[in-house]
Amino acid sequence: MTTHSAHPSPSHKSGHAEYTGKSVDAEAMKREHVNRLVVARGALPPDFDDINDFQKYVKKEIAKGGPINWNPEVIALSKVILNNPFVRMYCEQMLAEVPEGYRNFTTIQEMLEAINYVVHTAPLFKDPTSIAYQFPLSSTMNFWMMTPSGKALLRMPQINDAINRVMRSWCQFLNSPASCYVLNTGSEGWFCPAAVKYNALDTDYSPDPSKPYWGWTSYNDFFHRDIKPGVRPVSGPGDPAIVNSPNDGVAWAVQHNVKAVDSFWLKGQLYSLDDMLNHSPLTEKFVGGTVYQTFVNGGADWHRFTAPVDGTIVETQLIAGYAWTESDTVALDPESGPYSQGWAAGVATRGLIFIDTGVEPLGIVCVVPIGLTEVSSLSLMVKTGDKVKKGDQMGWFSFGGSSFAVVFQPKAIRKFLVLPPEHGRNKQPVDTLRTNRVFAVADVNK
Amino acid sequence: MSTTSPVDRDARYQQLYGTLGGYLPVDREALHAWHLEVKAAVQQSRVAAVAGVAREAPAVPPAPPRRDPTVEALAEQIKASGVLRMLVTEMIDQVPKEKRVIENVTELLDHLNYITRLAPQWESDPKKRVFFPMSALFAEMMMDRAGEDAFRYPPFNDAIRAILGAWCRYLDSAASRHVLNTGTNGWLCPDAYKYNQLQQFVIPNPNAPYWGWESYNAFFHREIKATERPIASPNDPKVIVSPNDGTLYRIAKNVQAEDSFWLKGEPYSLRNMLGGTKYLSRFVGGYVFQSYLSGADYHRFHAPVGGTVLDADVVDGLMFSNLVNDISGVASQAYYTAVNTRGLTFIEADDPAIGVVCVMPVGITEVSSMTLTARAGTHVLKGEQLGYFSFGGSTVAVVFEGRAIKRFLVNAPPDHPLAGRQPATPDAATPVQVLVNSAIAQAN
Repeated sequence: MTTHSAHPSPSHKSGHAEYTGKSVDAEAMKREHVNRLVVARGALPPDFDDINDFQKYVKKEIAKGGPINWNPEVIALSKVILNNPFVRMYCEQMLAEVPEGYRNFTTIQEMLEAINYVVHTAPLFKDPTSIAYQFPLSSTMNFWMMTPSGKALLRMPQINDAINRVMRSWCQFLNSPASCYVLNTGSEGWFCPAAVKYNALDTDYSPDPSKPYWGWTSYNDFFHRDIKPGVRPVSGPGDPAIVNSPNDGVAWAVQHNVKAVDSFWLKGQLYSLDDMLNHSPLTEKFVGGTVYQTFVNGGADWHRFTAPVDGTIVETQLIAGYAWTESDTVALDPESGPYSQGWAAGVATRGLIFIDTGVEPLGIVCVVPIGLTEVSSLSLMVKTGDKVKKGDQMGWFSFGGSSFAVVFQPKAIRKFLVLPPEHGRNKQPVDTLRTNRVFAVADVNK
Repeated sequence: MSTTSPVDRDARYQQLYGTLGGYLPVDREALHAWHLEVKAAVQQSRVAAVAGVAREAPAVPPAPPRRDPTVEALAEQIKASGVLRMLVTEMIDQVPKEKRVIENVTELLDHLNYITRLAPQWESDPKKRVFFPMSALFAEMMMDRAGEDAFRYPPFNDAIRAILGAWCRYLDSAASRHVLNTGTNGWLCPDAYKYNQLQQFVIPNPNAPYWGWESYNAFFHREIKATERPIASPNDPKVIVSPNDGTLYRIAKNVQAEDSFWLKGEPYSLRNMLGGTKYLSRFVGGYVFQSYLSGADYHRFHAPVGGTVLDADVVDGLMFSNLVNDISGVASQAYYTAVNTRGLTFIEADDPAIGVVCVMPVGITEVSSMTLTARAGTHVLKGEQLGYFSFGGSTVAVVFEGRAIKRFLVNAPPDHPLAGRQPATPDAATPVQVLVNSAIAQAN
C-alpha cells in the first residue's frame, strides 16, 4: 500500500494528460526539483533557469557547426532508440513533456547531439554562483528525467545500459590528457581564484602550480585528487570501538532494524538489504541492523574513501546499476524528494566492500560507495583477502555525484556521534562528516 | 493510489479490445466476481494441499498443484530486480481498493499460474462472459501508470511472454479439450454453436469426443469450409482479396516510413511495423489496410495475392499495452501494429504491377501468438493459407506499395468510431465487415 495519497503533487494531478504529448506544468516541476536529492547534494542548481542557460549554451555551441564527431556509443544509443518502437515513443513523449520555455531539444536528433556534445567536453567551473556547468550531463538530462515518460524510459534496461556505455566512454575521455584543457586559471577554469577557494585546493590539497595542469594528468585525476597529508587525521587508531567515517559528506539518514526486503521506493521505507547488497550471501548478517547514509558534496569534498575500521576484506562487488532514475512513487509527493536516496542505495551503480573486524558484536561492516549521474563510476583499490587499517584508502569516485552508505550488523553500534537532522530529511542537512573522523562508537567485547 | 479517475477507469474498461470484442463482460461487476472465484480456487487449493483433503467441486477449475517453471522464473526475477519488484508491486497497489482482488505479488503469481492451466469456458450470458482470462486478470492493473509502464518494461513483458508460451502449450495439448463439450459451459452447446457459427466450419468428427478437435487451440483456429469463403476472381490477379475475416478499422494512404504512431490519429509508422525489413522503402507512400477479428471470426489468414513468399517471420513485441491518449482498446489498433507481437509475410506478387505485399497478423492479449505456415521461398496462390492465430485477440494489417492499388473495393468509414474519432454521419458508424478471400482492392 502506498502512503503518499495525502499530498499528490500538481504535476501528478494532471494525470495522464502528459501522455498525449502535453508538457508537464513548469511550476509543478520546479516544486519537485527543489526537493530532489540531486539538488540537496549540490549536483544541480535549485534554479531551473540556471540549468536552462546551460542548455541554451550547449545548443549555441552545437549550432556553431563544424563536422559532428559522433561518439560511437552515442550512435549505439540512437540505434537502441530507433529500433525499439515503444522506446522511441517514450523518448519522443519525454521531449514533448518538457515544459514550454525549457524545451531546448525537441527531436531525438537534437537530444543525441546534446549528449554527444557533452561527452566530448570536460566540465567547466564557469560561474561561482551556479553549478550548472560543473555537472553538464545532469544539466542536459535534468528536464527529461523529471517527465513521466522520461522516468519510464530511463528505467528501461536497454536504455540504461546504452547510456552507461556512453558514460564509460566519456569517463575514458575524462581520464585522458585531452580533458586537461579545463584545468587552467582562466575565469571558467578550475584553477581560477574562485574555483581554488570552492575546492579548498590551497588548504586541503597539494597542487603544484609550477607543473602543467598543476601536476594533474586529466580532469578525473584532478577530481579524485589525493588529500594533503594531515588534513584528514585518523581518529582512534587501533581502537575497535571507534568507527570512522569512510568519506567526506553530509549525514543524511540513519535507519535501524533494516529489513531483508522492503519497498525501498516508498517514502519512509528507505532500505531493502537484499537489493542494496545485491543478494550477497552476507546479507543475512545485516538483517535487523543499521544503515547510515551520507552524500558527498560536489566542491571541496574529497572524492576518495577509506576504511572506517580495522579488518579483513571478505567480499567486494562493483554493481553496474541505474544512473538516471529516481523513485517516481516518491516524486508523487513533493515533500519527499530527497527520499530518493534510499532508491539510489537499492538500484544505482555502487560498490560493496565487506570488512570483517573480527570483533563481536561489531562483526562485519559493509561500506557502500554509490555513484550517481554524470559518469557514475567508481574504482576500488582493495580486494578480497586484503587487510585494512582505519584510514587506508579503499577507492575513489570518478567525476560525478556520489552518496555513501555504511551498513552495520544488529547491536554493533552503541551510539552515532553525528546524526542526520531530526524530522528533517526534506530540509538541507547541516551535519558534516570528514573522512577518518569518528562518527560512531561500536559495542565491542574487549 | 490509483493514477486514473474512476470515470476514466470505466471508460477505459469499456474501450478495451477484450470488452468491445465480447471477450470480457460488459458488466465490470461480473469481472470482479470472476476474480473472486479464481482467488477462492487458488486459496482453496492451497488449503487443500496443506490439509490433504478433497475439495468441493468449484465454480471454476481447481488450481494446478505446483508452479509452472515460467511463473517460477518471474518470481525469481522479481526477487532479483528491485525495479521490477517496484513496478509489479505498484501495478497491484495502484488498483483502487474496491477493485483490487489480487493484493500482492505472490497472489499475482498464483493467479498467473492458475491461468497457465486454464482453458476458457463458454458462457451464454454476454454480461458474464470471461472468454479472455489473462485480459481479465490484468484489466484493472493495466489502467494505472505503473501498469502501463510495467507492460512496456522489457524484462516484465519478456517474462509474461514466457508464461503465455507455457499457457499456449497447455491450450495446444489434449488436456485443454475438456471444455469442448455440449454442457452449459461447453463450446459445443447449442448457444456456443450458434455464436461461433460452427455450421460454417469443418468439424473433424461429430461423433467423436470433443468432435474430433485435439485441443482448445485446434478448435480456436479451426478450418472453415472452402465453400464458405470462395475466392473472388480466382483467375484475375488484379483482384486483391482479404487475408482475414474482420471488421475494417482503417484504410490509410501515403503511409510514411516513420511517424508518431502514439499520437492522436495513430499514423502508421512503417519502419516500426515492418521490423527492419529490406523492403521498407518499397512501401513508403503506400497503403495500409487494417481490420480486426472478433471472437466468432475464422482465425486463419490467407494470401491476398498469388506470389512468392520472400520472408516469413514472427517479431516479438508487447502484448498487454494500450495507447492511453485515445483511451485504449480497439482505439489502439494502429498502435498495436507498431509495438505488438506480429507476423510478417512478404509476398512478391505474380503481377508485377502489385510488387511486394506484406501480410501482418498482430496478436493482442491472451497468448498473443501466431504460426506462419507459408514458408519463405514457396509460391502461394491467391486465397491459400498463410498461417493461423493461437488463442487471443487479433488484428491484421495488409501493406501495399503506393503504385499497386487502383482503387479499394470496400469503403472504409473515414471517421470510424473505433478509430477513436467521432463519426461524421450516423452511417459512418456502421462497421464494415470483410471476409477471407472477398475482394478488397483492384490493382493497377
